Amino acid sequence: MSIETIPVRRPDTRRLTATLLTILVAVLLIGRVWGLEDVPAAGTFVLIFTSLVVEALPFVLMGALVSAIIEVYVPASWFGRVAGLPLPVQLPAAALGGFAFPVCECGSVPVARRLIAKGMHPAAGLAFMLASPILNPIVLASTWVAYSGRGVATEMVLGRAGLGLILALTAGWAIGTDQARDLLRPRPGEGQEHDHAPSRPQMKFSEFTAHLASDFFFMGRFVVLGGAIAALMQTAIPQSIVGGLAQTPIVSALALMGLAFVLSLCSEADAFVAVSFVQFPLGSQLAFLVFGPVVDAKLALLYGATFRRRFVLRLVAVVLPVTLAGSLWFEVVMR
Amino acid sequence: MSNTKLARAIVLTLWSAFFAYLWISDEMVRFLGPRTYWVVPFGCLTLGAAALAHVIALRRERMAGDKTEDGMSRSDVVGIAALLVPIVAVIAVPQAELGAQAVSRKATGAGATSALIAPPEPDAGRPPNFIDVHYANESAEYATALGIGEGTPLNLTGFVSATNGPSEFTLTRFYVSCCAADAIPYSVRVVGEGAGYPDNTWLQVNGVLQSEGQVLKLVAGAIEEVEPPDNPYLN
Repeated sequence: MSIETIPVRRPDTRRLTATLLTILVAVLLIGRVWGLEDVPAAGTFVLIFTSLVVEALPFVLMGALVSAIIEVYVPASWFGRVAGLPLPVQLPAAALGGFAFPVCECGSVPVARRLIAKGMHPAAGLAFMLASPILNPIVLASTWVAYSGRGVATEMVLGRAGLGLILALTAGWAIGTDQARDLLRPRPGEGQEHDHAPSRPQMKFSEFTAHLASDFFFMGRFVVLGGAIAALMQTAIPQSIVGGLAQTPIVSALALMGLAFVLSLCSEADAFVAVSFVQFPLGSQLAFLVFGPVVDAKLALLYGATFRRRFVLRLVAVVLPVTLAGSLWFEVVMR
Repeated sequence: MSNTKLARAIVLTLWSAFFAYLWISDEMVRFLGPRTYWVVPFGCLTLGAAALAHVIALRRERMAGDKTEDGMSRSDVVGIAALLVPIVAVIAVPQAELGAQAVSRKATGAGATSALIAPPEPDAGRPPNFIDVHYANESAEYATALGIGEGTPLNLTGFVSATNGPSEFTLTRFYVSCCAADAIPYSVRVVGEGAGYPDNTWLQVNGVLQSEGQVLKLVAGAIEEVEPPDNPYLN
């Protein structure tokens, strides 16, 4: 394990457990006794929040599953060979790997973290993480279906795949210069219980379930928190406020990128929302489709928990200008 | 470690059971769109399998004589509690729905009715719906292909999302592609004597379309208050 580990402190958590359980029970009782479902905003919030989590959790589990398989069942020698490849080979190969990994952004983060921790070059790991939610076949197929009625399906799919690939390569190359231990945030207890290589199948199975659950519960809490923030913003902020910005070229792209951040949609669904912004030019819609799967409210929390400080700022500093430039160029080509 | 494993197994089981409930009761149609219905049985089975794997690992540890009973870390407690929040929210607000409040937040663009998806293929053989009327308002070509316009009979079921005057209100239904977060409202203005239903009342309206400038409105012949349909969305 090439990332720093920090020891687990086992404080008495009975009080914390009791407090959290009390809060959950209180929320439940307040909802049922005071009739929260009669409050329209509460109904909107709960439905959007829960639907985001219900849609995302199985993908988080799949990401955790792949991550646990990589950790326990893929021999370290394989990663040694991959790590030995030159970066100009690793980087595009990892980004193109996104074509073969049909999960959304929630699943790609734990996998990328594990790949980097096991020795893949951080730039390549990041390129994979950023490319897979844009390039995976389900996302491209949904983009094609969404835009087929507008007669620009091929252009939008090629634009999304092309800009997504450029974005992943650029961001991976620009941000992935750190060592793994400088990039990844250590987790309590990680690495301690499996510094030895489990050899018996039963031990491997135990390690596998431990890793699976560890990643699932770690990522899951940020999906819940991010889903709550996204639902809160959808409940409170009228989307029509961005409508007035539609006709100003650069501003319209920035407005839809901001909306993509707020909405935190799954990349497999976002094309059906993007196509609804008919008053915005296609280039701005492309910005929505490329920026959203890489930077949104839910992912910002997930990144913050996975990577060291300032990662999100560095990522935005690269992703935003690349997306903006790419979407403007696309707009010019489409005219 | 066993306390943590046990707690995790319980939460995974709860989530699997929640997915099973959504699946069996068909409640999934309230949260998801048809493109992602498959996530529910998939989540039920995979989360159930993960819970089972946890229980098996725990049992093996105990059979092997591992009596370690160290407590949960703060991180474990917070992670486990966080994953209980959505389930608690659904129990606390069991009939949560997207209604007039959501329409006021989700309507996009300049004007209340400019939320669009790619237009469906015009099919003159089926009865027109909210989406068709919307596109007919946007495109005369579409309206002609579908054969709808002034005088076309229309039967719509939706909820009241706004009252525009003593005899006019807006009837709306959402279209959901993947989940409620991407819901898009489609609205039709209804003119009818005796309007004045409160927001979120589900109505079945029979009438004919009438042009008012560029906009087609539904002039109601009969308005009936109905129960919300099993699937509240246009899919």
